[in-house]
Amino acid sequence: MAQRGETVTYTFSGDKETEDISNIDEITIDRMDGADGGDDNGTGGSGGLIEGATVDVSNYDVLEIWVGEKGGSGYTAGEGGFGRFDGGDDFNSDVGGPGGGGGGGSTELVAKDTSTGETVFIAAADAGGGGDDIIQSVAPVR
Amino acid sequence: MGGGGARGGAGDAGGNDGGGTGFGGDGADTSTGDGEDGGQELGIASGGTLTTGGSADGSGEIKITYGSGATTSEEPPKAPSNLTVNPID
Repeated sequence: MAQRGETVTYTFSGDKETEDISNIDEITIDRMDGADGGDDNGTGGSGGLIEGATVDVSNYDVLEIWVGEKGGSGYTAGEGGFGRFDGGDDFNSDVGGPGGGGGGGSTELVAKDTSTGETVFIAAADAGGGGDDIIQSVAPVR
Repeated sequence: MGGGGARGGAGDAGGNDGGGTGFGGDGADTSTGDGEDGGQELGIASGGTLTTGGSADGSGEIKITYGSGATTSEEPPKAPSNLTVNPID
């Protein structure tokens, strides 16, 4: 159960996390980082960033925490990262090789009232897109 | 041909000649090289600063403080223990 006055940092774990917030009236999102897109020859985009937002959660008793995963490198499989919504795969993720980096997974907070089943979206730091596998052209040597 | 970043729906897979689209940043295509940055969205949250450039190590991260600005008290108010009454003439 979350405690008043407690500050917690959640990092990527590969699954959603939940907190009992039945004794909590309000939370402050001190910092919320979105996941980056996967790199290839092109660089994956950076995630979005939210700092200092506040939320009245007095009507909810469970907080779902989804921390997104960086998209896979285009040098390997280039798969989309895990998140509440997964990032998109690159063009060739099923076989590896050329195709670009995967998109990052979404980083989100969701509140629930388990007595009614109501679910509300709190906030999201969106993920960056994957970089391309562009091949740099080289002028021929004569 | 990079994949799209996600939020609100899975990012699309990249195509042979174009980057996948996502509700976050789109994946790069051959004309851009680099993937697009993701944005931010507020639901019932409010205030704060919304920018890009999040994530120091690649994956996401969330830092939360619970109960700040709480409106209720843990202890009930105490009754006064020593009262003095001055009668009014």
